[in-house]
Amino acid sequence: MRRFVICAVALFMAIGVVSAQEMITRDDIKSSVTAYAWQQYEVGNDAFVATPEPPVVPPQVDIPCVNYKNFIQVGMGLPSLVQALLFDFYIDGEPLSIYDEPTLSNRLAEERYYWGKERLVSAINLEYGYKVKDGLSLGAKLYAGFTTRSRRHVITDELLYRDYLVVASAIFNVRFDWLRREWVTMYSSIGVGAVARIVYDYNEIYPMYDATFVGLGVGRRFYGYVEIGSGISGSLRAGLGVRF
Amino acid sequence: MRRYYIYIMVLAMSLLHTGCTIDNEHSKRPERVARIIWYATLDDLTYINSIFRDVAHLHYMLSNDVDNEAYIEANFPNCTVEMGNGVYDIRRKTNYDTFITTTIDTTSGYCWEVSCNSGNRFHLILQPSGDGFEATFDRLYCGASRGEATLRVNYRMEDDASDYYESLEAIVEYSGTITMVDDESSKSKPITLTTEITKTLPVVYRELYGMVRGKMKITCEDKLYDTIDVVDAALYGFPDPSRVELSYCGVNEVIYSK
Repeated sequence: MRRFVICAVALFMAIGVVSAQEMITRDDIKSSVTAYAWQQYEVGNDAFVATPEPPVVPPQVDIPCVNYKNFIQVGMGLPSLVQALLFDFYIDGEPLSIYDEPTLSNRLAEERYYWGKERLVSAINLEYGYKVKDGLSLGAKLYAGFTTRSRRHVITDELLYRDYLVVASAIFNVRFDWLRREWVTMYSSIGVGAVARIVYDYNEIYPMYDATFVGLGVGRRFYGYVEIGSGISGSLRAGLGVRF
Repeated sequence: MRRYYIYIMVLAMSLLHTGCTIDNEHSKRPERVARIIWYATLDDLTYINSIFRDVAHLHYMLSNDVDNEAYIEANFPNCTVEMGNGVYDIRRKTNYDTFITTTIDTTSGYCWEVSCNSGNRFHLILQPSGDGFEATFDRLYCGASRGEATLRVNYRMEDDASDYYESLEAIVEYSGTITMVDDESSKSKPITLTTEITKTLPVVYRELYGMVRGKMKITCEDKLYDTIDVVDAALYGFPDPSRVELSYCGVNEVIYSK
């Protein structure tokens, strides 16, 4: 019996609190009450001058992208199809372009030397973004990757030289934040720009794109991110970033 | 602040260890170097020998009282020989219905100038020496190569004028040095092939001499890569050796003819 009484009292108290809350939070009632109170003070006691209520500032909800205008993130990515084409992966040790001519010198060089293991660093990404409005950021992304391999004598294994291939890209990026919470942000982005392929003493420049299908950022001011995308930055990317 | 350092360290460590290594499959076969060098030398030697054969027969024909038409039919098969004022054109028909014309200019005495319409040419000085002749090839142009050759060619001709077939005596022996510069690879840094015949190289006109073994040392100087490759070759039969033994940097290779 006692439990029922306690529950009933608690229930009525809850209803009353809710009702009171409703009464307080309804703007029309709040305005009329406030106006009435203001009239009383204005007409009535001169000694008491009611100060207008300060505007109610809603409490700050700590959503990172609301407070921070800029972000910088750096990370790496797994190779994508675009990178495979740019790096022209030497799966079977095919030579570079200077050996295209079947002259006596080139044929001898092909047999006298061999290519060592190929070391590949495929994608280092650096991105900056500026929030122009809620959920929309504009920025730029820089990408760099390189591969290297050694040319050695077939008998002595003596190093003849090292071969380098550098790929660098600059992308203008647009980013859409479609989910923003205090600790989690999800986004997508698309960008276009150019990529330079540097081989020996000549360069090639092509147009390039970069797209992030789904990106996930975890953190507030400092955060880590994981992205799935396509283009110059790689297929699967991850890294760290900072908002400021 | 410590947190920032941790982040930087984690990122730096990740960058250092990220990346992959691709192991390119490449079979190291240094004997291929020896083969390439050998075949380049063989091309030059074969060309010199083919021209010399024409020169030897022409010289014999001009120096002896022979029936020119019969001699030409016997020793210049599928050819026409046009003679006039010391200049002789030997025209051979190829499989492609074209003609290779070898022009031999004998007007300067023993210094004969031999040229082909393919662009190959050289000066040949033919001088009697002992039982045979000594041939010096100067300003030699063969394909994309140019150079000189000092060869001693010992040969004898049959005196039986009634039988002009195989009138060239069995052994035509080559000895000496051939130096050819390959301009096709690089004009500024070409490859120089020096072939030193260290043991007399017999030309096989009769099968018996196919068993005679000739030797040569081939030095390939590649200025583009600043390297020198040396190949030792021993061969049975020339110009179509039945067996060739190559040695390069301690690696031995044997090539058999088909």
